Amino acid sequence: MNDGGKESGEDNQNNVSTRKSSLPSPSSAGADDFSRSIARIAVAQVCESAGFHASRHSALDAVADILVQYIHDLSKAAHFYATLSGRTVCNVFDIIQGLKDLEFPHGFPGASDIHECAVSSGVIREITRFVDKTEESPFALPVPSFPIGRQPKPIVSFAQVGELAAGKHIPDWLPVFPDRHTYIHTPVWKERTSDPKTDKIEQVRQRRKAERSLLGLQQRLACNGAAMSASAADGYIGKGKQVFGTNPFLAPPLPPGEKQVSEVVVPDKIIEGKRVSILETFAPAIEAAKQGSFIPHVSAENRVLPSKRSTVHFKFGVDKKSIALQVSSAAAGGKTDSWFLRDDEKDDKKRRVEMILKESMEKPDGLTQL
Amino acid sequence: MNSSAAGGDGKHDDESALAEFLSSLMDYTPTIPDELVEHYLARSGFQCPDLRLTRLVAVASQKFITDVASDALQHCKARLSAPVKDKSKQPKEKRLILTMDDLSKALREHGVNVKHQEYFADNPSTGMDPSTREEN
Repeated sequence: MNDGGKESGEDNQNNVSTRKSSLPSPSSAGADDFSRSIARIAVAQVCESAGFHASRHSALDAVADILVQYIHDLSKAAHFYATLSGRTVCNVFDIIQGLKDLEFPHGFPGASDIHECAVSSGVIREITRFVDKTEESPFALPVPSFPIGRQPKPIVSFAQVGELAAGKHIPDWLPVFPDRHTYIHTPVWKERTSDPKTDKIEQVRQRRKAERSLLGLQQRLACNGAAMSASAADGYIGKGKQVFGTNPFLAPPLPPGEKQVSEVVVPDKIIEGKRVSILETFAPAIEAAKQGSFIPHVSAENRVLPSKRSTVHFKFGVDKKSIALQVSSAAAGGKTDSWFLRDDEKDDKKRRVEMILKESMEKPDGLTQL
Repeated sequence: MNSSAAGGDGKHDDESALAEFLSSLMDYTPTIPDELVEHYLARSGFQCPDLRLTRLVAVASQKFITDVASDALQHCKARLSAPVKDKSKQPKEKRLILTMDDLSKALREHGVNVKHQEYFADNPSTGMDPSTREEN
């Protein structure tokens, strides 16, 4: 029996009983889903044996719901009758009574007979006939017993274990005591992690160790000192550890005049005053520019240099830095001449220098600001 | 006296018949699996270790479902065999499909009132809130 999902587009394939039943406490939806889908399969089998070719999902769901509700109602009624008779375990008569209750609105044969025995009631007779008439069609799939782990493990009694109770006042049928270690009182001491004797020994050992290492350190220091003095005496500069013996910073300072030191050249013009006549300082450069030849004082080696240092560029502009540079270089003296001619080989640069100089001559105040 | 003796004999016969029927249930496997029935019985507080009673409940519920299904089948057959004036509405195939219409008609006879929804949302993701859908 295939479901009617193929015929009807309105029914979905994946509606595996997500509907909630009206049963109380469907605590876990997963377990309920499982039982509900089993009920759906069972109902589908029943419908197939009844003669249907297919069914809609919704109809199948409804019938499965009704089946579950039927079982629930029947067991509730049977349980009710068992409780009414003062029993906890149901028997056949409770079920028959429950069946009668369920069949009551529908009507069943023999319902009018009040004094009828429960055993020979019409309900049972109908069910017997149904069982005889209907051929057996077991459930299509093997069903595991579910839900798993529902029943708690019963506690065994003294009698079952065959163990004698602790006292005569405890009857046999009471559950046995749990294992002795679960209830017996055992004193708990504050446990020492270690023995004081071994502690002391360990302490002494550590102290000895520290002393030994200290001694080793002292010996090594003494050795080092001896080596240093030896190296200083020999004037020998060795490799590795002995290098520190010739540390120049630790060496005693030399007396003045022992070593030749280049004297610092102080440009006297700058020291004299900031007001420098610009025309004066740049006179050689300007003259050289006016002459048009760039190599009057430059030697042969110097002439070769520009081709080698072609990547070096000097920037000449109106910014402060370049002018400051010129001033300082002019203050350096005769060097300016060659430097100026060597690097400044282009006419426009010369013209720019002249322009700058003219400007500075016109405004001498501006130079001080530079 | 006579009648009471006959009644006693009949009672005895009924008893033996019931015992025989119950023992025959041990061999009869109902379509509804025992595990399913036991699960729902245990849920409603029904306690019985006897498998025969579980089988009895299973058989009883199977009988109920079979009755409903056969009634619905009759309704379906009647609907299919009914002369349809409009030819376009006539179903092309004569397959017997269990539908909610037939089912609700059959269930009404058994005292179950099923309201067929106009629109049945099979899936909670169809667009409705699941909490509101539960009330349907």
